[in-house]
Amino acid sequence: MSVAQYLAARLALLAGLMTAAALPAHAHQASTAYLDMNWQGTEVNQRVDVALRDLDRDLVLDRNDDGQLSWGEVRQAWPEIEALLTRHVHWQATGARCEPVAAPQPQLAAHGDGQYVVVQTQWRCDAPVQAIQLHYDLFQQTDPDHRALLQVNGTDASNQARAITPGAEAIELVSAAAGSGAAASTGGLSWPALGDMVEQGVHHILIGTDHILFLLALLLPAVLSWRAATGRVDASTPPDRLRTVAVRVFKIVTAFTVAHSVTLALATFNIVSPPTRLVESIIALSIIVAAVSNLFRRGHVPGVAMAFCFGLMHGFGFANALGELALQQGQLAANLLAPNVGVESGQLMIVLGVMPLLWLVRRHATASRWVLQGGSVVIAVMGGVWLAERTLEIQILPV
Amino acid sequence: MAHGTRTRRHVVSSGVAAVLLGCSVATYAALAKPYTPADDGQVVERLPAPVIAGESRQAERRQRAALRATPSDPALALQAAYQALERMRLSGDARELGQARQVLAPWWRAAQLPPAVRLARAIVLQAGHDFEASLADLDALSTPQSAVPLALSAQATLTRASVLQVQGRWADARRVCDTLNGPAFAPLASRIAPQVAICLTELDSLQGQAPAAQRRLEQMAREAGPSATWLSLVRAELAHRQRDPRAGALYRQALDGRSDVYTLAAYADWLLEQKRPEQVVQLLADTRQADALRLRRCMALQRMNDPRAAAEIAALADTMDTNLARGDLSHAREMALFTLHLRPDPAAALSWAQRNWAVQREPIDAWLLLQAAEAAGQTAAAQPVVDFAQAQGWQDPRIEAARQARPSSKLAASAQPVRGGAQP
Repeated sequence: MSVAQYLAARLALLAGLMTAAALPAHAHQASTAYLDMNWQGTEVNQRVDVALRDLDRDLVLDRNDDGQLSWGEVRQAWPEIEALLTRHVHWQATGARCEPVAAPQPQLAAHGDGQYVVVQTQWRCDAPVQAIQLHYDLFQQTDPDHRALLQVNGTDASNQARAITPGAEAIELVSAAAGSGAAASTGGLSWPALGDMVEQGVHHILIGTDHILFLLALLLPAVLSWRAATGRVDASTPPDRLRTVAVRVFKIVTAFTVAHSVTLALATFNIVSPPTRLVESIIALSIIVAAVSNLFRRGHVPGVAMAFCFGLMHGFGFANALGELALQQGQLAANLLAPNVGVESGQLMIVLGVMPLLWLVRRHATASRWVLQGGSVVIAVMGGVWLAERTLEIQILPV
Repeated sequence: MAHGTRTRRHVVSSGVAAVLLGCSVATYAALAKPYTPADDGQVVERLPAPVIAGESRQAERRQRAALRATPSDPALALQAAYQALERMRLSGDARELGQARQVLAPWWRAAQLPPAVRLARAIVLQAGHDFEASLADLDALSTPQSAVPLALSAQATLTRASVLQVQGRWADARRVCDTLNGPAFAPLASRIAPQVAICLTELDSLQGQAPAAQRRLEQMAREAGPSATWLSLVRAELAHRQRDPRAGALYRQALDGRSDVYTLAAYADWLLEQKRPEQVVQLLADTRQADALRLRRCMALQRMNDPRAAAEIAALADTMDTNLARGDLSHAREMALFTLHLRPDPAAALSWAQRNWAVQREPIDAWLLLQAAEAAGQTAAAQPVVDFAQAQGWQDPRIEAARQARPSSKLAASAQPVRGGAQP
């Protein structure tokens, strides 16, 4: 078949190629190896990560041709892998002679686009290493797009690796601490700094305030019962004992926990996922209802039913806020457990912190009244602000 | 302190993204953690399955061996190059582009080379976003001349029109496409007529004649020829731009039988706009596909609050990091989408969208710049898109909306705080 015939036969196919930008540019990651060179004194450590896919192309690792690489197949080819890397990734230390300490053990590591072999080698040198002449020409003959991302002596100031194009010329590596050379950076985009991350973390703790206030609105009257707050103690009803109060608090917290665990699970597994705005609005409303009811209730200890009913909504709220965070574990059980453990321990800390304080306040009728009524008013106002923000999608409070 | 739902969700999601990206930067220094599988039988990697019908791994190896023996055989190299390009079109695998470049290596820097090899080189250059070099090769081929087979010249001309269209040079694209109706290509007229018609009609549909173009495309579809898939895609994209609900069915038609990255990504974008993330996750079930598709899948998972989102976003962030460190800047569109939706960083998203707009100007690139400008609270940054649409006679509902919002936008931009979210 001549070239022209071949192309003519392919014309229809090429028409498909030619829809605008039908060929995506660099859609996957192109072939990339990771090279880490570290040295200190007379010791040199090198780590090379090379994609199994690239090795399979040049060495045929998939011996049984089933399209899958087993660990056995990788181990069988290990001597060839080492030989390939020795041929194409090597170096000399300036002013020192170095010998490998031990043969590298077969290892793997996951990168964003698949599994890589990891070859870690250690050398001892007869003199302190000042600089290294690196030769890198891996896959130069088989993939012109191959690059190695080189890091020298850990991270340099810019925390950026340097991309190496395979070639015949030696690359002079100087320790970042020693000054120039190795600290070349590729520029590009600045990822969020550590400070930002800490700030985001603090944010994340603070945004739970609405759940804390709801719980507080329920705990206030559970400890500072209306009767205690008004000082109306008579002989027919003995004053609450610590144990009675503790049981009451326990019931409320348990009802809240059971309810929000159920909905958190439902949301995490995507069985139910009500609209966020509705959930957040009802959560704000629940705070108002709980707080306002503290102002009007007479002699009745509220809580368990309210904790349960609204707790269901708060569970969806947790899912919104925590669901995504929990997934770093990448495992199903952990996805559910991790956020819940976080929520429960946070909750326990609040209960254990607040309850003794309220118990102390309880001794003084006036203080009790002020804390119960004043606290409830403050909480209700906060709930109102949130309700307005969430239903109207406006921002009242500063971030 | 708690605040509005949108902002609150943004804080959480940007917190997640910051943590994930922070991790990826941190692991970047330390690399991924090495491990040793316990058992020899454990499958540690899946190699990509052959995506072209009738291809096999063995055949691919034989081809590679043959090329090693005779690397300068143009017929062998061309076949390998086109197969690699086709695999890249279907799977989006950038390694295939490396393979195509590899087999063309003997001619890569040549000034004199067989016309067919020059065409393949032009297509590889285009796929690597080296549009100017690609156009130089295509220019050399598209003037009919005795040394270049006419079919090849026609092919080069069509490819040239599509590169010009990607660059937003619609008038040039139309002129180039029109030359195929000229006398020089008359011997091929009946064979290339459908492609030429699609090329011109798509340009019509962009330049203010959408309804007529739509009717013409429907007519062509009834006569369905060898370009039926391409036709369905052009119609789907037109319907998508017109916000016509039939876009979904047309995309499915374009995907019928075989799916390529471009069409899958466009369909996924449409589904995301239709608030149907579940279908996106279904459509893009493979988590190891092209970045462009992983990106859409992550956006869908995130909108569903799906437990898998964080891990997949982290893996994608790792790939993005690598691309950046490699200095591959042809990912600007993906970087803009990533920083707009998955790692909400409106300022970075705007800068990537601008960088992308400087290189490619398809409708999606225009919308991306509009969205990024709005998310960054810099509505003036969308001006180039508005000017472009006006100059080209492009009528698009979204750009129209942006244009109408503009007169008051300058005031609004100074009065309002920068909108924190990158909500779609």
